[in-house]
Amino acid sequence: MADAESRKMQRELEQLRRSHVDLSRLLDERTRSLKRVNDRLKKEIDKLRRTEAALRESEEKYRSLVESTDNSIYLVDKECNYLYMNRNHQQRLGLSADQVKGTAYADCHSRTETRRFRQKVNRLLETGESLSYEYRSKRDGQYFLRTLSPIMQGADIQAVSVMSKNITFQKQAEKQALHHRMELAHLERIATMGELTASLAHELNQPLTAILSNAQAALHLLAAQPPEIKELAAIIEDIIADNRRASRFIQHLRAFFKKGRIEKKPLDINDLVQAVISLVRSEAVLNNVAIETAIEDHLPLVKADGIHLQQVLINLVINASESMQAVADRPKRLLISAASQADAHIKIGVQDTGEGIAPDIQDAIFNPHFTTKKNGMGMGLAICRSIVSAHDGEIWAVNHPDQGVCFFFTLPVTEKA
Amino acid sequence: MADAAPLVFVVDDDDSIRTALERLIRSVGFRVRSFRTARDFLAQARCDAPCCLILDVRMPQMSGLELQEKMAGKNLPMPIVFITGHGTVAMGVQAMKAGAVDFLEKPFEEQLLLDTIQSAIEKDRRTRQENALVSSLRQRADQLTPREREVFKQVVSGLLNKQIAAVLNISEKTIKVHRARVMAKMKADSLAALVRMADKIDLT
Repeated sequence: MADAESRKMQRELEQLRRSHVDLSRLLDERTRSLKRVNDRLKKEIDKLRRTEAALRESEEKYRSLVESTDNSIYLVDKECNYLYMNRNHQQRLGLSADQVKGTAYADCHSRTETRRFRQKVNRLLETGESLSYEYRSKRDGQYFLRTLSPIMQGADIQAVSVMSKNITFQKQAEKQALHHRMELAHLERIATMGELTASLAHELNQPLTAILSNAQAALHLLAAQPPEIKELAAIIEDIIADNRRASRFIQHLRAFFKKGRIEKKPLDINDLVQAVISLVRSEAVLNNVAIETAIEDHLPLVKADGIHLQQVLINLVINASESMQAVADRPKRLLISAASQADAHIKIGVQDTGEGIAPDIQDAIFNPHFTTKKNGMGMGLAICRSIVSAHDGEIWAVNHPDQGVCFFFTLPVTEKA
Repeated sequence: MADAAPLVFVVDDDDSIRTALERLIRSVGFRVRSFRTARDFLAQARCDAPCCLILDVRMPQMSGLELQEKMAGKNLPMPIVFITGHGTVAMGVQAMKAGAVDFLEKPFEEQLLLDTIQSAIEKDRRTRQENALVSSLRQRADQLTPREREVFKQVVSGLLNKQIAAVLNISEKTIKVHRARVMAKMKADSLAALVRMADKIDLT
């Protein structure tokens, strides 16, 4: 019994021991498996950590690109509400980062600025193409070049990105250059008038002479008994007319001497040509040059600065007269013509019967400081060219096959309102 | 010779000046005719009284010198007063060469213009009288016979009757008769007067 008891116990003990071994084996296995999982997890986490760092780095890179630039960069939705703006633009508009969303373009700009911006955005929404335009801020008068681009989601435009580059400096440099060109043109006008002094004196002397003679005749008529009232009235009317003629001429001269920017207004070519002829007529007669005109009827108006265009025409007329100085075997004729062209431009020509331009200098005549005149500065034609191009026109010269040369320049006609 | 009233011509292409000058010159009692161009003047101007021409220097088609030549050709010789808006020495010289009596710069004083016109007309009057005298002397000389003309020449060359008789181989008495006829036909009252006449008509 005692044996049986002990065998039983023995067996149970054995069983217990075996179970314990199994259990420990199992436990070991589990532990190993867990360890493997843990290792894998650790690796995954490492990988994720690295990816996250790379992402952060990348975003940092782009963010710093967008945030550190001098340019304003922002996104708006189709209704012109801000979705995002870089720090530069936040500062410009005086907004903090958390104010950006919920602010509209209209909240930060004037009504006209907003209208213009909306127009541009609408055009982009219609065409789907990027567009650029120059813009002067009412906030501080600075100039910007804005480029609007669509942000696409599939085939739809989701938002509009705006990149705004400050071009105030370039604008100022351009303005400065234009200012210098205008100063030069002014000096050249004074020099031109210097050349025409004799002619101008004559233009003023004519009405003065008529006024003086009329007044003296009136004194004689007053002394007669009875005075000839009717004739006296006619004399006084003529005196008034001549006085007006003289003051018109002086006004005209004064305008020509005025320093000025190019101010474009609708201009009748016929008026331009007549104004120029009144300034150079005496000079032409003195040089035995006959001035003729061929101006097409009903020419459309051009948008131009009258004084500067007069300067161009006078320069061409004086050049033409001078080129005919030595001509003796043929009439000295100067033809001013104007005709409209198919491309919405008017072509104005000044043709002479003079020496023509030698082929070897043809390319150089519009260059600054190029001259064939003994006392010339060589600025006349260079200034003509800069004035004509400021009017979006072109200027060129063609030798006539027989004799003389014709200078042409073009001006765009005004757009119909 | 009884003069018709003096006549002043004005040629200026500036309408105001032409009208004003016309009025001024007329207001002091001259007759005036004005023209816009030298061509019109040449085609239409006629004058048998003392006259002068007030001419604007600036004429594109015809220079003063050309006009002067054409005026002579048209039997329209007269003193020219040039007027100009801006005179130069060269222009003045040229105008004077073209027969100008004066050269006025615009605007001019009335008195200067009127004095200049007055003296131009005086000059023309003298020229006309002189021309009239010469042509009447020529007419008288044309009435002389060839023999009388011969004697005329010898007398005014200073020869005595006796010397002339010897040269022409005729009697001194006949010379005396011819000489008396020459004096009568030429209406000369002295030898001195006859010599002056011979000078004027360029007797050869």
